[in-house]
Amino acid sequence: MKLRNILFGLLTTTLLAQSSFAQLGGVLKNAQKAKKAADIYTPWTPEQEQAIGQASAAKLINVFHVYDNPDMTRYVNLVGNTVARQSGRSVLYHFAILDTDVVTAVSLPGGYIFITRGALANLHNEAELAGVLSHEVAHVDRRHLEKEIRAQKTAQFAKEEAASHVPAGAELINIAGSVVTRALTLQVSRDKESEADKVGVEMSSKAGYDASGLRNFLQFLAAVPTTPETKQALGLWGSTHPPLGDRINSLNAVLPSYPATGQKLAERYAWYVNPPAFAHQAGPATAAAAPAANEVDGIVSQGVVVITNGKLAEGTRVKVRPQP
Amino acid sequence: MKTQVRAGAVLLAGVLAGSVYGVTLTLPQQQQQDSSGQQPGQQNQDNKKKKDNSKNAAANQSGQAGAPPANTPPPNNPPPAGNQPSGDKPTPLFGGTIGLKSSRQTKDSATLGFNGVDPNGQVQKAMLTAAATPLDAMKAQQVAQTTVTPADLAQFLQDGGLNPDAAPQKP
Repeated sequence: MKLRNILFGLLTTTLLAQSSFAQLGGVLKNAQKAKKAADIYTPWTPEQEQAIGQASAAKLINVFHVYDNPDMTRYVNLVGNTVARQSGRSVLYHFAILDTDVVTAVSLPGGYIFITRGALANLHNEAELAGVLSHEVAHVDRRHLEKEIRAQKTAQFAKEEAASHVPAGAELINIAGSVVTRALTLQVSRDKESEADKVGVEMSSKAGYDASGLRNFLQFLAAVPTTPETKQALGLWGSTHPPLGDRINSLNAVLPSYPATGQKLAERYAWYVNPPAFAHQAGPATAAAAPAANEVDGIVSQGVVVITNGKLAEGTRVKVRPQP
Repeated sequence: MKTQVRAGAVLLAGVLAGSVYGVTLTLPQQQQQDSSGQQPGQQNQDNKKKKDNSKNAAANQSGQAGAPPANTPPPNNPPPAGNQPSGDKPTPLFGGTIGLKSSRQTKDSATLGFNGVDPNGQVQKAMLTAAATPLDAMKAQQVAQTTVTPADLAQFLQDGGLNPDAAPQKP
């Protein structure tokens, strides 16, 4: 009987101890979950977002360099702001061109959006450009990259103690490195990509563009044959976005709900983005050959031949022979 | 009966004790996961490789060379919507037989054109670990200052037959 009492006493003590440990464990687990959720859903302040965005932009520019063509950059900014003003969240957007033949576009926190020279060379009209840019604007508008960074705790900044100040110095460099590494090496989650596609289409359409611009460009990329050159050009796009076929199918499902009367503006696109425009900004080794004597380069825009390289005296009569 | 009670009690105590240990072991593992989520490469900037200076030089060259493509203003009147290609199949902008185009024309520049990526199109690791230079920071500052004026944008929208109304701003 005595032994039984001892055993019951031991059992009761053990049960109580287990119960309090379990409760403590549960409380700690819940606290950690709550903190993680708070980290994910507490958005960066505009000051934090701006500082991180600009530092990340510097890091991205370190990788690819900026393509310094004021006219083309201004055009990209006009198209980008045309769709961004349909986004809703108050962000001052900045668009720039990266100096690489790689075909991609990248968005960073704070409204920094980059499209590559290679992407511009392969778009066919302004609606396609608007489609690509609006997809990136949607990522910024919905804070997709920021949420991924916070969720994964890849940045020092995600720690609670850093959440109340604008990062600077080494801390900012670390965060920018994390942001750019993530943007250039990993996909954001499939649902966020899908959301960006759909929100982007809506923005493009509301802006007055043909809503199928992004879908058409993705179809073009999907049809590109695989060669070493195209593999190099499209590898980054493939590794940071879901498969083209999946995205095209998803877009095909939503496009019928948008008006088919949007603008494509192929001629305006060709006016700003064309081989002579690129060649003028290339370095000495890559500049387009000067036209032969009594010749100039030009492009037809709005039914008018615009001279893009060389000069002719006022009043000179010309004959135009189109080049393939 | 006594033996059964003893055996049952010992078994129960053992199971309960095991579960207590299970809880206490779980917490440090979670903490480990949290700290391992940080990328080691981000911690030590001193170990990062220096970027190839020649690349910067090339970028500067390309940035400084040449004038804007045309001195004429952009077209004021957009083509009528009916003149826009509709349902057109994407065609190469620059001509050529391959499906994908480079904006650069020569073989030398095409190689240079893929700066930053390996043959698979992935960004080179050295590029990712290199720190931004003061020049990069300055360029980023320039990008931050790039804006379009409301008047320019309004004209652009009008020229393109685009929607002049913006969406209402969310807080």
